[in-house]
Amino acid sequence: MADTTTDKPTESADAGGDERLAHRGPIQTLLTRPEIGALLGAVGVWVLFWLVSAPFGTVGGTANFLDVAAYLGLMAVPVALLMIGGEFDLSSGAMTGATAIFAILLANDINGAGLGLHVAVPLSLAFALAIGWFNGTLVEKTSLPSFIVTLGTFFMLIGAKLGFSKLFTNKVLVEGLDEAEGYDFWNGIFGAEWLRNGHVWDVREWSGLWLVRDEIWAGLLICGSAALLFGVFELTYARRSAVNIAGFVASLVGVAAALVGFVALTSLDGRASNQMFGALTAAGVILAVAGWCRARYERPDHSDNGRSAGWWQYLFAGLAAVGVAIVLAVILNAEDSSQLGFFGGSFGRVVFALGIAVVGVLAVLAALGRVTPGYPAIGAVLVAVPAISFLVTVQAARAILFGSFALIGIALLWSAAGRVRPSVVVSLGISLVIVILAFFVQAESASRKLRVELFTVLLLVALVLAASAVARHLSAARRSAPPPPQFGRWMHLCAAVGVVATVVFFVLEMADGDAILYAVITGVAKGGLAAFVVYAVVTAAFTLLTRDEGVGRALVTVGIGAVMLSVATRLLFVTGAELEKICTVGSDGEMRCPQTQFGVVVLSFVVFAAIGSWLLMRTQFGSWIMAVGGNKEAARSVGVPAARTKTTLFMMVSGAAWITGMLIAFRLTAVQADVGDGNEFRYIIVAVVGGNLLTGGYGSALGAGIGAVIWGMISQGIGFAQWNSDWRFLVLGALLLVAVLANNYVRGKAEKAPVKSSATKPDRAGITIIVPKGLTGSKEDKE
Amino acid sequence: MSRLLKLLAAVLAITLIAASCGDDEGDAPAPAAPADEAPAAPADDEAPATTAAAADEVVETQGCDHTFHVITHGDSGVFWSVVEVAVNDAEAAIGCDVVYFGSNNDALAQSQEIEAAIASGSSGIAISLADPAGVSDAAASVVAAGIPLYTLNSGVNNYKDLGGVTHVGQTEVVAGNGAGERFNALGATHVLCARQEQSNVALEERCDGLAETFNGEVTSEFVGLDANPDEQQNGIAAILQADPSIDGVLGVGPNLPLRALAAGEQAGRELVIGGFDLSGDLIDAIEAGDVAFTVDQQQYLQGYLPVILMYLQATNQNTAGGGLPILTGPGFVDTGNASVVKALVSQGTR
Amino acid sequence: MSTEFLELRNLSKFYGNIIALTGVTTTVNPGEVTCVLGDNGAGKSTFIKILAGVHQHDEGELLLEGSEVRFASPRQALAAGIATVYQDLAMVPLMSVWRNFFLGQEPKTGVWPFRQIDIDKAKMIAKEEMAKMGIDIRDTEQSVGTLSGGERQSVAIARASYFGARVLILDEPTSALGVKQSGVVLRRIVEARDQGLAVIFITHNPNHAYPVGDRFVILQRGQSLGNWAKDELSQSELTQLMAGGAELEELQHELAEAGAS
Repeated sequence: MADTTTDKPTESADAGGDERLAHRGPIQTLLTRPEIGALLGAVGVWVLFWLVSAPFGTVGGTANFLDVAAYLGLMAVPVALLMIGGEFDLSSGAMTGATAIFAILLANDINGAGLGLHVAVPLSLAFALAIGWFNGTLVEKTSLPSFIVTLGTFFMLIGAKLGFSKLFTNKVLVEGLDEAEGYDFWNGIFGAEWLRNGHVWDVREWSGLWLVRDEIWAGLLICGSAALLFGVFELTYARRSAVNIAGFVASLVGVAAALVGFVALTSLDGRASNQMFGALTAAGVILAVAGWCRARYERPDHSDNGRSAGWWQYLFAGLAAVGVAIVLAVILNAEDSSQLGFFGGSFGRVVFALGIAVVGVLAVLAALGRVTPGYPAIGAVLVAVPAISFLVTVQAARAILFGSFALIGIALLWSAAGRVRPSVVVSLGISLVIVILAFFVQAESASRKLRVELFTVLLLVALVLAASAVARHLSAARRSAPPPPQFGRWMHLCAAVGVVATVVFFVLEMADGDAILYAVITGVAKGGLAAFVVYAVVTAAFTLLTRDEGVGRALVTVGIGAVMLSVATRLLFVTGAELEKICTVGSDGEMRCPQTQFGVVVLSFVVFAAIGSWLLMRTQFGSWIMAVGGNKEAARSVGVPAARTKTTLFMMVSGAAWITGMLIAFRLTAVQADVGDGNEFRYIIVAVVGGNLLTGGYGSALGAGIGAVIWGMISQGIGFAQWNSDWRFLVLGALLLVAVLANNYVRGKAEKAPVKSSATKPDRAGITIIVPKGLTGSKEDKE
Repeated sequence: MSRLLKLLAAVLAITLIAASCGDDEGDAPAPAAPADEAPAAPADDEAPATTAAAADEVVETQGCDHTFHVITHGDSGVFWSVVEVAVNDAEAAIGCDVVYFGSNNDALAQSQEIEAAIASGSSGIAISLADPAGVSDAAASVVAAGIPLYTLNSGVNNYKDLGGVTHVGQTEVVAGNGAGERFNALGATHVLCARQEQSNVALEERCDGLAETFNGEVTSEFVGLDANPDEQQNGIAAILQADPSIDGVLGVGPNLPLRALAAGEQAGRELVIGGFDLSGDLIDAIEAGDVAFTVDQQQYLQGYLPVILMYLQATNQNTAGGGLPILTGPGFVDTGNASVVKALVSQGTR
Repeated sequence: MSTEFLELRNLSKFYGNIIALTGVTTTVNPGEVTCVLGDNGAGKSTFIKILAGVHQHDEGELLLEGSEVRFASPRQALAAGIATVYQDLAMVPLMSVWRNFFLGQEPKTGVWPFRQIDIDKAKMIAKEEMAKMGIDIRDTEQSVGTLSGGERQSVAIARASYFGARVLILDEPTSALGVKQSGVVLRRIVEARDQGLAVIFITHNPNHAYPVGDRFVILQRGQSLGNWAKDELSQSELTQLMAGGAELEELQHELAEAGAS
């Protein structure tokens, strides 16, 4: 009887697998991450301020906003974890100042208890953890909203701070930390900082290797980007069964050409040579990518290109775009080629025209529907932003607008003819437009920043776009997720190298007579570096020499790591030439140089964000955090210790507040009673900007960190841009809103895009077998 | 069980309210409650050890039949704590009850406290008018109730309209003027007037005053709240890096000059730094020559004088000021007098 | 019928002088589905709670593999291999399928303090276990909230069976679902049975129970009406017994007439 119902499912389970449904590629996966909106927002805000302010993009400016972001982010990361766990801690802001005041009052022997810092600092940590435990326990035991409970602790802390300050010192400013016993030791930890000017790196001789900062920087950046790009390819496209040697050779030729072009581009400086070698570099990169795709990935099935989703739509849209381009050319047919100026007279017309243009592009893209929203949208923004801000002549504006629309039009017409997939063509077209724009900027702009930096950035963006478009055209997409990498044993090697290197460097530093803390940090840093190098080499070898399909994720990791290292190299070391440029001689004949420094706070922030992310995404505790925030009863019923999880979270927040408090105390040596008050809302706001849900259960620790960086960039960027600070909160509010909306939009898009839950489809067939017809009693079952 | 507890609590509450009413109204029966409280209050004031009068005040409180109120918008910052100390010292000196209340920039709370003071039959009320629109109704009802009204710290433009006797304070514009002249003398050409609050009229006026007398250019910006010292320092550094012509910073609070000092180092710039008000670290920096001067509005006077004036009006029918405000500043602290002032600051009276 | 896997003999439960359940006798065997039917208030939840260890029976015997047992707590019942999937599933909607699958019992790798979840393994197992249920979760990273009600039941069932359940009690798994979704869940029940689990399927819908059940217990107002094997009972008999006979007969007549016209 029942047997009839059971045959089918077993079949489908065997035959099922992933084949019938598309695999979600790495970009799509990335777009569904909670922090993606914040990440895009951060890039946008950075570009905005980088364009309008000269010092913002410099190392000094970066250190400046990172410092503000770090104080915020150090707290925002644990606050975000707590929020994901479904609770708030309103006492977190007041707590930072409270630990500082507590420690100073305990340590100081003039106005305080005179215990010395060796007792006071650990005691203040105990105090902070006790408050966190109290908050957590009270919330758990009483089931009151954490909002109320921590509001109580918030007021109590504010009152206690003020009360005790006044009681001991008769003032609200608690001073004299630097006179307390043990100050030097603790200041070595909480007051330590990396002075960039003290680390000059022109040429470094190291075991016969000759390393120059700028070349290391550029090299790491290029290698990192390449690894990242190929890692993404590896995750996106299906492997072919045997390597195509011709493609491999073509790829090598391309790499060689690109290298020659790049070296020539950096060593020569002239308009003709720039254009020539720029083109060579670009051609080399594209050839390398194309060759690699041919060598490694399956060919796609091009049979239904362009036509499947109504070719007439593309035809119509293409004609419309060409028409708009012609109209624009007519509107902007100005006789003079005078300077436009940022707020000049003809600015209005350009904005108007651009507005139409952007709306038109978006409308066309939306109408098409089938064009992947990612690349073309980014491309459109990239074309629009600099065009609005920095096109220097009317002619340039006209050429760009006309060119872009004509190109999009032609691309769409080409798609309509059914040759190539429209998304590929649009991406290629946009990358071409960006290249043209880049050369315009380079030729016309008055400012060096635009001529060199913007030019390079635009070229790189165009190259990445073009490369990915080529890859998409040449390779078939993966249908199943790649397996985990197979080089497990090699990971042990990396770890072993890392540990050995750490010990060796630690001993070397100690032998040099450095402080223990310094030796530990440098030892760990250099050990980590060594392990990373081994990991990168192993990954590269496995990519080239084996058929392991799991290298994609490793490549992405290597890429991100290399890019971050490259940025760190630039941020942490100064060259003699750079030093010469930034220093000035004062009226008193003294040499003054900007002191770019990175305090412990930045290091702690980075470490916190990393640990927080790892905790949340990779550990059991992280799963529990999301579970207690998402559905506490369900979590309890499967054995998650909800009370312990939440109390731990509260204690993590107060522990972070302690670190923040100590950092503030050792930075200022005098702390006012209201330090930190009111910041609890900033932490929450920053966490929300980073993609964390106010209602709990979902979010990202890394996102909170990025949110903090956005806040830092905006609040400092307004100063750098010399905008009137009266508008500060308007700008801050608007940009934060935009960041959150972008977050929502992107996530909504990305979640809608992938294929619907697969399980419902095959099941429908089975339903008719099982479900009886109903009460009417038409039963063919029996009797 | 719990009902019993509630009942007990209610009885207790009623008793307390009754006791406090008796306290406010009355001196005639000299009940037990005030006698208990009296020694407790001055016990807090032993630390500053200001005057010998502190010792005998228990006796004198019994003899004075006036209660005065000082109701400000003050917060718990460095500045207002000195005012509070001054009020307490004046209380000790005159031997009457003086109630101090700081509303922490909450105009509504300040108004409510003023109404409460009127209801309790105050003999004189001194208020600060940081938010004239929010507090003026309450202030008008003080005058309507026939209670002498004084303004302190802020309110120089409004005290006359409201019917106040006089204003004790510094006019912010005059203080800013003084700072401007100092910067002229120190040879600065472009001064950043850094503010620690937004939409605070007094701070804006200081910057306006600076711009009036200063010969060079003035840029006035908000750089971050006192609650976020790191943001203040980085904010000033950002503005310095963005505009290389700035060679002077006036911080219109006691913490900002120190932040400006660090910011100047961060940006690698030589700055003339001036400040407003005092703190221990600021005076140290002035002594060391890192900060040029600070404008001291001598807020101790703003707490002390109104109490004395109200006392004299209540007991001796004196009215001071002659229709003009009584200015408490600007006084300057620079390398010349820093060491003297330092001792006083650590006592909490400057 | 010598040694049944789980045997209930005259199981009764009283709350004070209220008779919640009395005289329930049935057997539950691996590879069989025992359906417990009854209207609201018939004593179904008491039945579940006795088996799940929330309550203890007052009379009768509960035999597990021939020896008498009495579960003092849900944990004991779970340890004995009796897993209960309640109507309001213990799922966290915002979390991914694999996280929900392993919640509370995550597979771990690495040494402390670098101990982390073995995500690749967890995903693989979750996928495999779901596949065994005949459900193909393409991406176990998908959040449970995006799954349909039937799929969520499936995840809960798969989870219970993976973590060593031998008896699976399903509390009204189809009551909140539409027709199609109910079909999905019924198929999962069959899957679980075919994997060798003993399934106790609690429902008030005889049309859901009959196609999948091997043995039927009908409860009415705390009384057991009987215990039938499938070949002793037709679907219409079951429906009639369940609804108390006459009323439903009447209804069937009416409907048949309506259908004919």
